[in-house]
Amino acid sequence: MSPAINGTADLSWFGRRSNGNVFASAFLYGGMAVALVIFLVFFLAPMIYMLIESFKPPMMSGEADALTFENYRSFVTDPLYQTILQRTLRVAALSSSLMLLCGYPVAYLLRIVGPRTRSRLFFFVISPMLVSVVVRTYGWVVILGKEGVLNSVLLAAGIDNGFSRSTHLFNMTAVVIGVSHVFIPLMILAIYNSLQKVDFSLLKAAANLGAPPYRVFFEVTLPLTLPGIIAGLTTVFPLAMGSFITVAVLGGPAVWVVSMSAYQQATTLLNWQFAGAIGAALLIAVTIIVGLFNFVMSHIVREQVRP
Amino acid sequence: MSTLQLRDVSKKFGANTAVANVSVEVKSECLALLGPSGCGKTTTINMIAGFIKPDSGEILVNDNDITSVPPHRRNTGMVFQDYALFPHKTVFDNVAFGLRMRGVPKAEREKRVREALDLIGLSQLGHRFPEQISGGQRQRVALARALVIRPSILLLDEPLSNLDARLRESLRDEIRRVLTTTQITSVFVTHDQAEAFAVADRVALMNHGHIVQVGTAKELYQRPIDRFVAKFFGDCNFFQGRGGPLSDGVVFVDTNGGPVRVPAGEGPNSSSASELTIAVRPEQMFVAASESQGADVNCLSATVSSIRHLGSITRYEAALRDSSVVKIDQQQPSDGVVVGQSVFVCWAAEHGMLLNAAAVK
Amino acid sequence: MILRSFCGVMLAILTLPSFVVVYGSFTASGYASVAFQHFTLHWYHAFFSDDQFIASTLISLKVAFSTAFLSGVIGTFVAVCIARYNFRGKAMLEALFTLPLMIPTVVLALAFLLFYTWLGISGGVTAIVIGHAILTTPYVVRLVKSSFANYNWSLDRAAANLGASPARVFFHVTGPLIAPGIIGGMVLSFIVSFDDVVVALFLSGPEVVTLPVRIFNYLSESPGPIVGAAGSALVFFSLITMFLVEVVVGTRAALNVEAVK
Repeated sequence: MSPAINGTADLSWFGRRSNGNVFASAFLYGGMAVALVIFLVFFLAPMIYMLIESFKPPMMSGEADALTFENYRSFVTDPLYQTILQRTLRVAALSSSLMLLCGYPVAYLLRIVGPRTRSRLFFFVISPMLVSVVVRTYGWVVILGKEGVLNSVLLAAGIDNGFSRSTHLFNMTAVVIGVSHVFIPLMILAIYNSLQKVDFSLLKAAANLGAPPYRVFFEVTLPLTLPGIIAGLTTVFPLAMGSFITVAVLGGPAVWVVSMSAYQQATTLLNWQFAGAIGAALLIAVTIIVGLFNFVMSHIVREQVRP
Repeated sequence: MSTLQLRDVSKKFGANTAVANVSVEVKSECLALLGPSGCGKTTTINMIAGFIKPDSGEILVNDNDITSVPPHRRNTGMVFQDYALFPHKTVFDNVAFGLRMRGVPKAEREKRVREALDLIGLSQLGHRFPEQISGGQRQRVALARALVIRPSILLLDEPLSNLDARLRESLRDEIRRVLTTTQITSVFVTHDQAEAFAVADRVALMNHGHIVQVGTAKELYQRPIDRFVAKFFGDCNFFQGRGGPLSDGVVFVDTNGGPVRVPAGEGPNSSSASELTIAVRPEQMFVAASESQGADVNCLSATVSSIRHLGSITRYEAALRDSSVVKIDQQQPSDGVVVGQSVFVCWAAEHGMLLNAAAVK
Repeated sequence: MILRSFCGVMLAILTLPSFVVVYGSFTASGYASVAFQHFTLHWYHAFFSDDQFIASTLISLKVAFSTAFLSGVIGTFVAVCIARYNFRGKAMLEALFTLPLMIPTVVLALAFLLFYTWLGISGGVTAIVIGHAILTTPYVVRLVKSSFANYNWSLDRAAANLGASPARVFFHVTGPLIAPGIIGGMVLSFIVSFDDVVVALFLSGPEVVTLPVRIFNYLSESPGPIVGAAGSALVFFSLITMFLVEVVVGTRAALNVEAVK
């Protein structure tokens, strides 16, 4: 059937070229045009503005308004920012790994249970995402604080030492736990998606051929779900890198990451130009990493034999 | 009582010509657009409805050019292949939809919808939703919905293709009944020739975007204009040769298998000394041992290559002296005929159909 | 199986923080702990008497409703045009409306702050609504687009054939049939906007502080038990919204959330 029958390819019916009742097709296209304008002015323009600003010297410095790489140069060469960047990457890497390790089993369980249990499990997996990041992070403050839940449980169990009497916040561990908790549902869903596509009779075949469960997993299940794992990593790693609220609340000044620098520069120090450079740098870093992941993904997909 | 005219309508999709120079007139009758997939019949009906704009040509209803009129302003009711009943509206609201769009006041709307539902025998189901009724019932609702608006032209786009065979036959007769009762001008698209013959008054056979032949069932079957038309309605044997002299409405043709006589048609194809094609249907032929079967019987010598008994008929295949194979279907098998035997394949000259040799597609 | 126990622990951990906050908000100390505490509404009393918190809640609601409406409208127009038509630059348009999802929120918020201030509209509710709309429209577009997946285009042709102009086709046929997708998109927009901290933080002004931002400020400067009540209010709002969706539109909207991911 020609695509025109579906009403998608041929504009002669709804299109601008049809005579009569131009108002009506203008209705849909007009609405879309408004949406487009809104996005161009309030989304694209800000991004471009930020980019341009990042190439200008800081306003406070009193230099002329010429384009320069100064902001980027100082960001890249300054040892302070190098540390911050490394720390940000570490947070992202640790969180992503934790999310992968803890999330995979949950995704697996989702795959093997029956439909009703599955929807109930889905509810538990997805519902945290309905709650604001601040609240979830505050929950960890309550759990990990000096008089928090964790300590009170330990004390009640009789473990009364330096560990159970001090705060567990303001360190890398707390941050990694918090960040992982925020984004793990996404990882679970990504892995579940690719697990769904795995034909479980393949697993039975492997077992039938003599493979013990752990080998079945490593030789069959894991490789087949690699695309899902990579998709999950591609989703959560950039999110973890850009994580701001969780790191600020759980890490405080002890764990300072790039996003906090951006906030500080923009609002406290009012150095928009430098802040813009940080923002752009973060964006570039994220793009590179996503590109890397996609590259790896396409390599794997090419090597795997498609069922 | 409306007249629909297509004048030289054409449509291309990219490099693909879907419809080429189609011209036809329909008046107070049902015209079937028949043909294999891709022949352009669906595109044509969509152009009449206004969903596709022709590249060239005009479409006229009652002498008004509607080629540029948007679909919601043409008064063409359409019945879709997948019924296209609004799932979120009841049967009653579905049928009432067109009347609502036309601003028909509530009281009259309800009256006309009830009449339409009565006409198709579904008055009890007005409050049901499309998913609660059967396929055949849905199709009847679709028909009622298109008719209730009293369209000038009724368009039916393969309305029966989604139904099972039994339902198809009964609905076919019902559609025919409705068409003849309302005397509405209609166009009916189908790929099934039996359907076309049962429902329509005239049939336009299409191929590769062209209308090959328009006529009644009888005309198409007995006087096909070319090989395509002949083959479309059933198996055919073809004989080609040079035309000879014409006498008493009969032409002598010197074919590959020998000289035959064929009734002359009207028009240029009966001129002598040109390449002519004769079509004969297998069921009109018979196998005989001797050549002399009568004055108006054509006989060609051939060798039997296969005999198959297919229930009610016996199918013979025989090779003529130029090795081309001829099929013969007989109700009764001929006595003593075996494979490899030299026989004569014969047919009464009046059963030969002279085709327009130049129009071979 | 070990798997089930592990997952049980995991899911408990997933819900623990929110649970702890809600639980703690009802205790005397304001914090959850193993030791038994009396049930009290003291902190909620404090929350509802606090002018600033109430103001923030109202602002959050105002912003979220406006965002849901705005992104619902523009997202639907975009999705319908994408689903129905083919036009030059369609792929780029689709990319444009998916892009906000792929950019770290901090970067978006920063860009918004710089540009909107330059435009002179920063610091007000409008700026936040616009920022949130950019953030949430991609979700609406995705949800509405997916509700076209099984759409029967013959219905549109049938409606037009029966006399409905394109606008009427939309209002009588297309719209009602994709309504679940639209509503799902608007609800998702509401939740995302209501919960958002980063964009609202960057764009907040002296009087325009949304509830999550107010909570964040408290956490950073003067953490106190009242935050627990405020946080619980957030949780309750989210749960109520999802419950309403469940009742009105059914799990369909929830299932579409999977498609979004």
